[in-house]
Amino acid sequence: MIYDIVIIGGGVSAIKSAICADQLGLKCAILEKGDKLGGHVSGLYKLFPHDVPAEEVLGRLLDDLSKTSADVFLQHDVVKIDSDNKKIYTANESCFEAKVIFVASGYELFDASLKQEYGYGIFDNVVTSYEFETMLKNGEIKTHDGRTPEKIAFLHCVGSRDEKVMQNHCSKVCCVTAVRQAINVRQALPQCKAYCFYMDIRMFGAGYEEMYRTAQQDYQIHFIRGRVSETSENIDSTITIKAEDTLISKPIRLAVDLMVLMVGMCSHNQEMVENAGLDVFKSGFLKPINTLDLGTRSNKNGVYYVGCASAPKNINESLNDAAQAVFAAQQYINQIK
Amino acid sequence: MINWNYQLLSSRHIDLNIGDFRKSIAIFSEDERLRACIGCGGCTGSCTAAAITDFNFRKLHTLIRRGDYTNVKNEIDKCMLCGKCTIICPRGINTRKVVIAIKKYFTE
Repeated sequence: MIYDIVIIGGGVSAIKSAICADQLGLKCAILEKGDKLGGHVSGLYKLFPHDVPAEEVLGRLLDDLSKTSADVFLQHDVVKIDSDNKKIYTANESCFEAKVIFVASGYELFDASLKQEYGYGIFDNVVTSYEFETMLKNGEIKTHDGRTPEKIAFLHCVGSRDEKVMQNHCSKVCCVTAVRQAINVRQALPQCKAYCFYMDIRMFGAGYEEMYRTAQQDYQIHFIRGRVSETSENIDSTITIKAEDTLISKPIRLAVDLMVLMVGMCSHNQEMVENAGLDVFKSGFLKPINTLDLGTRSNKNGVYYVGCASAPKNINESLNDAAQAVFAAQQYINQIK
Repeated sequence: MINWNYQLLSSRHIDLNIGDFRKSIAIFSEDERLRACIGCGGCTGSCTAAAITDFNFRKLHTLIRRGDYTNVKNEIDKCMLCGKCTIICPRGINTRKVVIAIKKYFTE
């Protein structure tokens, strides 16, 4: 069977694409490599800036999806795309044919152990922001040995804006996430102090700056401008952080019970897309024709990008991509008839 | 005992673990909006005293917020209380009130 649209990936932008396409009467297939839909969002606790539970948003999307005629194929890892003939090959040796291909393969989290100076995987009390999200979700904010932390530090830009790890881009959502996680900590543990070490605070969306201000003034979260240069583990398993407070031009030192690394977004599936003849940015993300009005259009006719496959995006932008791409795809399908 | 003329250098680090923040908290209580400072430097840019001395209000109140009280008294005396910084602050901090609070807590 030839599908109207085959969507590679099973995250929120893929789900939304299938819902939108179904409303226009297009038959879709979703190819997800894992064993459940939802992508990274399924591991999140609450969503910035208004603390909407991630489960609520994802639940709504999955509910809408279940009412469509879309076929969902789990454990279908796409290994090859024939972008000219619109054929997609998976690791379990099935082949899908389509009129239009959507690449919604998302992103990969930065491997924090590459920044050795932060001691991820070496020190017990260093976790990534995604792991910390699970702690928040389970309501168990504890150190490795089960204590309730009295001080938590959030390190911004781990694997973002860093030439040393080949990640020159800004991952966009980590600043907002750090502020939101710090607020969640202060709500759950009012006695616990929270510190954010930042290079710039990038609050780009509606309500984000307001949330930042609430974090500063109402939740009394400490924001220190300076990139953490060195960390070490103390005998009691706390982590000593060294940085410069660049606003006062002085080196600063702080011991914390838990250190959270705000890991950035990395591109993946690079080989698969390059063999398909799709353009990529230097960052490895898929390169649309432009990032303005043709942000979902690839350099190949009938291949569209939705969500974080083409750049770090927040959930709202990813969902908007889906609607935009589905409309463009419908136009394309009508043309080739 | 023989004096070898060796000495230990004290660290320039601001150690947030041992800082005494009582005065900082007292100053915050005068205007809680001070916590919302984004370090833009508008106050220092507009400062009349900064134009003719090395007074830097942004740096001074950030030092106080970090618990470093060295030389605060001498520094704050350079302010002439003209209030231009209050007009310019994008976070609505009553910086003039903060200056007066700093003077109050550090002139004893």
